[in-house]
Amino acid sequence: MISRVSDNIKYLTIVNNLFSVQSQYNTISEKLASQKEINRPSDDPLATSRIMDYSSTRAGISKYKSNMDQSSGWLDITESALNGVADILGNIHEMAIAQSSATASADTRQIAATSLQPLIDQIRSLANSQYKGDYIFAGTKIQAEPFSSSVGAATVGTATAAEGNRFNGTVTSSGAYTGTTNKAYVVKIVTGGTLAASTYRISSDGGKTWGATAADLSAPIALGDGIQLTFAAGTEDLAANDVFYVQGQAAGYYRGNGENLSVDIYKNTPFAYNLTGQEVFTSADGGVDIFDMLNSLKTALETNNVSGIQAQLDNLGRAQDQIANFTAECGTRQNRLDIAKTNLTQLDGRLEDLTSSIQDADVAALVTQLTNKQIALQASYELAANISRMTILDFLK
Amino acid sequence: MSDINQILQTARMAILSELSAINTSGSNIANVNTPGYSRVLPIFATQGSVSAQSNRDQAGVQIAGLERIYDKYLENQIVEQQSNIGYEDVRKEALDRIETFLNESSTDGLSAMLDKFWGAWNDLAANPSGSAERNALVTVSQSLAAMFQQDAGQLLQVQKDADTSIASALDQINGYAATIAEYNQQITALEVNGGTANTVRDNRDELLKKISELVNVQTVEESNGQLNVYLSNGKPLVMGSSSYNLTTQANPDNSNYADIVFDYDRSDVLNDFITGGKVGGYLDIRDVTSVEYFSYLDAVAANLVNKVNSQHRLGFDSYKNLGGDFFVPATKAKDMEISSAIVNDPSKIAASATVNGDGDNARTLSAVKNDYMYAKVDSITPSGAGSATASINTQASAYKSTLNPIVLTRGATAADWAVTDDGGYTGLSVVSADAGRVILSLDGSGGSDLTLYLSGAWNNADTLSLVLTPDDRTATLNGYFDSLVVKVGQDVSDSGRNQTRNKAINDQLATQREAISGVSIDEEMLNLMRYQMAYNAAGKLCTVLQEMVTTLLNLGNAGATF
Repeated sequence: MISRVSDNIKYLTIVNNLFSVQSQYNTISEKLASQKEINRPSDDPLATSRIMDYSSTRAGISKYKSNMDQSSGWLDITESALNGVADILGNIHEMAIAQSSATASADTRQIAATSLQPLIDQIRSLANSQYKGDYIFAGTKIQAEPFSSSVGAATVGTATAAEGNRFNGTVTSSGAYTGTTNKAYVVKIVTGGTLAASTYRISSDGGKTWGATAADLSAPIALGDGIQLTFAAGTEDLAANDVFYVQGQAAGYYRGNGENLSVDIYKNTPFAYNLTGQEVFTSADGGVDIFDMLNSLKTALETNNVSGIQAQLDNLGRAQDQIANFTAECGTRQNRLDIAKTNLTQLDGRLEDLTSSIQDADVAALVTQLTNKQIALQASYELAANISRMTILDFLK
Repeated sequence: MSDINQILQTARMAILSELSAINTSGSNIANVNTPGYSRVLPIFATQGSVSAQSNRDQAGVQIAGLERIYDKYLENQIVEQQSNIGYEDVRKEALDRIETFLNESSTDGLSAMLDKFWGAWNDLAANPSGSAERNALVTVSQSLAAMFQQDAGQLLQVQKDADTSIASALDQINGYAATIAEYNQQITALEVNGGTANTVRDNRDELLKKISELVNVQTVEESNGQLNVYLSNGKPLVMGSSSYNLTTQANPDNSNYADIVFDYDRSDVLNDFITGGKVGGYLDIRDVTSVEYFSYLDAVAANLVNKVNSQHRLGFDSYKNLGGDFFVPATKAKDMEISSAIVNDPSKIAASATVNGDGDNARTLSAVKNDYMYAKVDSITPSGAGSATASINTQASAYKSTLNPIVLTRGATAADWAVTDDGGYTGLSVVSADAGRVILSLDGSGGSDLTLYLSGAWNNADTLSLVLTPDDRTATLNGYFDSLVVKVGQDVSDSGRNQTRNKAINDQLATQREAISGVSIDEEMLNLMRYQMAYNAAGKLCTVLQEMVTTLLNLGNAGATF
């Protein structure tokens, strides 16, 4: 306790107290104005880290949600296309049953064959459905129409050098394609140099996974599935990361591939949202090749081949099951999206609540505190104003 | 035996003494608001004595001296406290600045920008052929890189400002030290004849406080009143009547920032001994705090650049070429920049995992967000030509192994690294290697420190850096940056608390000093009344004596009168 109070002590005490009350008053005012308990990291460092964590997670969630909306839209279109296909297949099935019976004649079958063509075209146009300009059944080759109207033979595509390659020689493909599905073969140069000195790796899935490093491109190299590539030197040698690719096209109507399109619907949770034409409409994955089957049916009708029609009836039934299965698959994926979305929405809401409980100011409490501080501040001013009145000088006359 | 002359003499002494006391009170009142003024009290002492035995019956008064009311220990404490205040003031100010530009409580900080960056990759994954998405990604990436550069630039500015402030603070210290040396001389000259140089001492104490606010010092007062001021390593700033100048010297090993040295011995760097005061604060901000913050910021930038580039190179761009570098390779936040090839042609963003134009590589890139930071390699010390040793610091604890050293050898060509795995560490393999860098993959088994020995044909001058992968499990990219923000927040908060505490202690000490040395007008007024009354009484004594002398002189005329 101070026993001797000098004049400066009186002023120091008042000034210090005034500053301290003013600074507390300001802190509360700032919180009230911003409606936030935490206005800078130093207000509460640990809470700040939680807020940042939550807001980062929520930024992620909003992206996952927009991914889900996009997937959901894609699946909607897929489902309605498949429903359309199922309806048409049902009609064709009925007609095929009618035409396989003894009551039908060569004439009725001819007429049926004629009326079958528009139905096939309709299924093809459904199989070529688009979502926002992308072909939904094309695998990852979403830019090009996946189903052609005429059946194609197995082909080895033209070998192409990527535009940015240093190598300016020629590369040519040859061979007969023996693969059962459409593939993109890629050759990547590992170490550059002359054709003989270079090393390379081959990918049969468009560049996702790579085979072992091999050497020497001076002789034709076999990529697999019967494809051969032949390099001829130009004025520039090969450089590391030069890329050459060639498409292998299996026989049939399908021009897309069997790759899935995925987006993340949660941390490290990719979700494949497309059904490939390969799995839905071709026999590559063990199903019925629907367009092949329909064209066989048409031929059987045209040629009045009853046993041919009956043979396709069986396939028609399997095709209907196949479409029904994939329609159900759409539903299952939609369900998965719905559940995931509900969870995410709940999580988002929970995080919002948590953020708010940490960050948002308790206005009622703050106003009460502000009033308290106002009183304290007034008292301090009062004291400051009166400080000079208390002196012995007033009593010395 | 008394006589009138003696009494007159007593009255004279009393009047003079009270006058002198009033004069002292006047000085006290006049200096009531002078900082550092210690009030002065006159010491009254009797002259002669009253004693029945020796028949002496007379005692006068004199001012034996003017006492400067002063507590030496309290004053020392105040001087020391100035160092703490100066140190924390500087730190708080700099930290506040850093916190302001890193302010992540707002929605547009670097952390939010990182989220936007990952979001842009995600958008591209959903529509890999969209040119709008590609352009948006380029724009966001440019903003992100700019923000890293800006944060690094502002941090650098704080560092530079601290460096510049050191030189001007040293000028001030030199000025104060020179003046203290002068005062020392004056005090000895004034006090050699037994006087007290109160005013000079007060002034010297004030200067000492100012020096202490700038740098932590120790003081010793010699018996002749001279004050010696030392730095904490015992080297004198002021020794008697001489002072020694501090100066700065650019240190090429520390970005040419200033080292603090004595003018007379520039080889002896004093930085380590200056731990308090404003200069101590500047040194801390420049060499410790901002360096630490830089290491966080640079680590995030380096990891981001490296991880995005590595993944980007695995994908295919719209031209079906393999992706190049997305960011210009950099290890510092200030150098972060998106590759110009991509800015000029966003089709070169390698969004696809295959030549078919899917968005899978963009999807993988958007998930780099959740990747952990690389394990950090502490240092790589070339140990003789062609070999080097690296050790992994605590951050990489998950990858420590008790197994034998791993030897990496570089072959004849620059890009040809090979691992000689003589420790049977099966979890280790080389992910990629080029002339300057090896990326090793470790599976994370094992518990204690792992030392990497590098050997091969390279010069000691070659810069080698090791990046370990997979990742150090301590933090994700976003998380690691967040921890910087939390660190800054914690530092600001601690510094603010220290500042408040130091101020409270200082206020308390100032109050105590005021209670002892400060002037109270009330007290001085009462003293004044006291001295005035005594003065008046002594004057009355003179009047009485005058009457007595008149009476005495008229004694001879008694017969005539009566």
